Amino acid sequence: MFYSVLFPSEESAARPRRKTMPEAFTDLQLDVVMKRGLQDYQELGLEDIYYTPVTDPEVIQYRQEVLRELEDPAVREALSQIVERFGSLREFMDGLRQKMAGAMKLSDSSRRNYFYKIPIPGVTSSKTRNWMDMARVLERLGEFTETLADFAGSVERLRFRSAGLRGFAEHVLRFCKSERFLEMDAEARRLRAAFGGIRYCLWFKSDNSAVKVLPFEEQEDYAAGVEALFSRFRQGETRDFRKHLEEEPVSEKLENEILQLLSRRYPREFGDLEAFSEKYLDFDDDAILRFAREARFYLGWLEMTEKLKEEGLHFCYPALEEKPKETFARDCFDLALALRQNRGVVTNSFSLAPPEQILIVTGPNQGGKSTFARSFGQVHYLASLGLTVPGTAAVLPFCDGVLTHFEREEKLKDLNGKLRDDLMRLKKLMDAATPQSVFVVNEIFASTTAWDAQVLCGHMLEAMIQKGGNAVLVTFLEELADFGPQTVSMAAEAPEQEGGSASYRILRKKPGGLSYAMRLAERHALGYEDVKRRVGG
Amino acid sequence: MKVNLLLPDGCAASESIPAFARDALKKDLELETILNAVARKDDFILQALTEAIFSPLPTPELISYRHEALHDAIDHAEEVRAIYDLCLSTDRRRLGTMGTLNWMNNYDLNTTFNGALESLNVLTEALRRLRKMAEAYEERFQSRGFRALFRMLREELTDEYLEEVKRQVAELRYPDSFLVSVRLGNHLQGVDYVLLKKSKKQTLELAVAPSYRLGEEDEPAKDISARQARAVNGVTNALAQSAMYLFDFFDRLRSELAFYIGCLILIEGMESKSMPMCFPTVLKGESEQREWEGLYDISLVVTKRASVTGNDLRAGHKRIYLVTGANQGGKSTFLRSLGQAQLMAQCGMPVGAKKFTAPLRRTVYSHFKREEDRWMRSGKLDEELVRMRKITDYIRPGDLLLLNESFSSTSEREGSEMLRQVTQALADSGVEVFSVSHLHTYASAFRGREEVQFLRAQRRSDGERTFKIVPGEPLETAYGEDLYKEVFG
Repeated sequence: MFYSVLFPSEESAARPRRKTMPEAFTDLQLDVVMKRGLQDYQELGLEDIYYTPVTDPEVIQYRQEVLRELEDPAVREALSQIVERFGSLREFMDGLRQKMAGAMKLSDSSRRNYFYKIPIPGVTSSKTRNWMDMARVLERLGEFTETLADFAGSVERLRFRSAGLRGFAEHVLRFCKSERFLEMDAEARRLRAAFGGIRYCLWFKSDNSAVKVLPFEEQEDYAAGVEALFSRFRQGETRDFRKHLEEEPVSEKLENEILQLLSRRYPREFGDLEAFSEKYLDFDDDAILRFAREARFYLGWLEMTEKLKEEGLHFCYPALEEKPKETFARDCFDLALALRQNRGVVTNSFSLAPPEQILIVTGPNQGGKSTFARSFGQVHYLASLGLTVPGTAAVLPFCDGVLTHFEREEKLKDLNGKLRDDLMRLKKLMDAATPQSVFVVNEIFASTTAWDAQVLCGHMLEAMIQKGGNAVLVTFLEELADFGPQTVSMAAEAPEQEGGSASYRILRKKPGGLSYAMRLAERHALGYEDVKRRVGG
Repeated sequence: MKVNLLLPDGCAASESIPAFARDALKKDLELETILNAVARKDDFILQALTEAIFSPLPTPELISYRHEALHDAIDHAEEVRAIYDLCLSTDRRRLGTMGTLNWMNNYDLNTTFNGALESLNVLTEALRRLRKMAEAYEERFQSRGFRALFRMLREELTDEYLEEVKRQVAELRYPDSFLVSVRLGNHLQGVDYVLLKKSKKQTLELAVAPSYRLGEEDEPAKDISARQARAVNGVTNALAQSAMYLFDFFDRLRSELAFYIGCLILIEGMESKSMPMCFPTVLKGESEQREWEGLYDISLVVTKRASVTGNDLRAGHKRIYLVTGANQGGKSTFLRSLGQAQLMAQCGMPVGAKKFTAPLRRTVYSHFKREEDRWMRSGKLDEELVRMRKITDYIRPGDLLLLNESFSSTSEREGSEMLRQVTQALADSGVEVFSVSHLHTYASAFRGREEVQFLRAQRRSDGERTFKIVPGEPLETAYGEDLYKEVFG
């Protein structure tokens, strides 16, 4: 029985999930990624999926398979309507059902009120119904059946392979073949066509006293006459003075009264609508609606990554292993940076073969170190969600979370206060860590003396080695580069020529050795050849 | 209805000069000083001249089109000013504000509706007066631009047409009831309200149509006013747009006239200081002929309120003009006067000279040494390089670049070499370069080259500066010492 497209079983879906954003999100700028790439994830209530890393291989495989299958545009096209239309259908229908149940009671009391009024035959109607809510049932139901029928029609052709999509498709096919479905679909189509063809005239007085309904007979349009008169002065773009006016009525009651008047002209159509809305009020289906919401997890991701792929960047499906012989990621990049600047994003690779466990990154400012550290953290985290990761290939360990320590800008603290703060944060980090945690530490202890910093970093590295997870440490302390067999030194690549600009490439190498004497004109590309090439002629 | 006083129908100015280059030119050539003095407080004149100066015309023919109209404006200044004054009376800022409410940007539909209606009344009256003027002036004017304008006004704004407009405007008043056509929306709410004219037949039908009398529960006041708004939305739009068309028309007319009024003011201003202005001879872009006589810096006349020295030159087949010589010898003033004249000539304005002949240069760029900026974050040389980089990203063959003491914020040797490479690369790409510099190594590097015209701040044998710029190769010594002597005695 199909349950969810994010979890292979109802049991795995029931495991507790994190409801608040992990602290690492800000440091790794995953919050930016979520915001820019996946705008509506919060609206859909999918936050907990992003906030909860998964270490169950079965779930990871289930998600990777679905994601891979969704890369096919034809598959996505087939699902797009379901996803767009059903995302918030459940909330809507629940609200409507509640309201319609309540309205029953209300109409009882209002019916009583009529006894105190003198009914004027033909002027005041004594039993106005809520035509608009009935029409809402029709509207949503019609959308629902049409969308599902369309999808069912394309299932055969698509032959889903992933367990997640196959399960969903089978569920929909069963649903669409049911007699009830076929009946309500046909009836909904007929009713909508009937109401779509109606056009009437409404007459109302500006003193708010009365409304009348009469037939439409191609009367002359006022505005068109004015437009024609002044058209000779028209040039270029014109401003639109029409206010954006809500077409929903202020008073639904009055709108229903108008429809009540109209129902006398179209008694059969309105009668059918009433019967229809009662009969099919509970048309929606749990598993289908859940799918519509959850599929956004994949679709949002694909939409974002594909835009970047067009810019020449790569994403890959990481292989997740319990204890990889070699952890590596090739040509990965900082996703947040890529989303901001699109072009010219520098890619980097890293690898850790046991006993190697920690990358020590050194180099000058503005050389791309923090960016590198972020992408290291991102790769581990995204893999643990069952998503693709930036890069051309990756083998990674299962990870239950990324723990980060980035330099914070807190100006009011004195240096000792800052150091204490650093240590407290680090303590908290270490306490939270498990053997499956990944660390990303960026410029820690920068406020203390080099000697202190070196000793403290040493302690920290020891603690990380104890825990056993992968880590990256960005530091200005080049002495840490050859800390032990568990650490690997990486450093910013030297510019190709003296005075050239930073390449932002981080390589596995000993630190230092870069010259940064700048040749200004070269940097601004103002040499003879550069200028001539740009100007052309 | 098109105005076409600045350009014949269907013609366009060249692409306008990029914003960053405009900002630099305004400062470097003291254009703001000139424009503000001419416009006084009239934004239309300021904008018209600014827009013109930074949108060079692509051909000499289009320049003569403006010259023709400018001659008319000079000969019939009174008439041109009368039309301009009529345009003033249609100012949208005044008419857009009925009472204290700005109908054009008002959220309330009633305000927009009434405001538009009222504005249309005033504008229609202005149209009538404009037509009368056109009839009276047409024969007196010679230029293609003005004559076409007057003919169009006469033909389009007939009495019949103006009567019909008046009638329509009068007929439109808020009625006490509304008849709209309605369609059913996605959940049967009424949508697509269109206001209809009531026919006799309808009045009959209305009497017998089923009706509903509103009660308190219907929130009648709010609901019905929302329906009213929807009903008149379309017709209000039509009225307001019509008023905007007319505002736009008068604005265009005023903007185009403002160019000529601005030229008139400028000429009068210079004449009052006995400084001549001339209609320049503008050659095609391929030409490399330049000639000027009594070329002076208009901004200097404006600020000094007195006459100033002018310069003369006759040159041909030059790409690079290198100006060297004494500090405070009039080099920057000369460069400004040349830049001003080039920009003004290219848009059909008169220029500050007795005679001025120059080829069309698509776009003019300037790179002047800047005073130190207190808030400047990057170094001074770095700032200069950034600006130069940007210019070289934009500049194209056939453009003109004005350099004033560029790269003088670094050492003589380094500055010279950087500047030489840029200057040479640009000239080789077909850019014309005027460069004022005291970098001796730089200037010397161009000695003996055919395409280079050397100019020098003149100094008489007794050491006195004349503020004249005359042909001459760079001299070995700079004139800082003169200045030192002058200051320290």
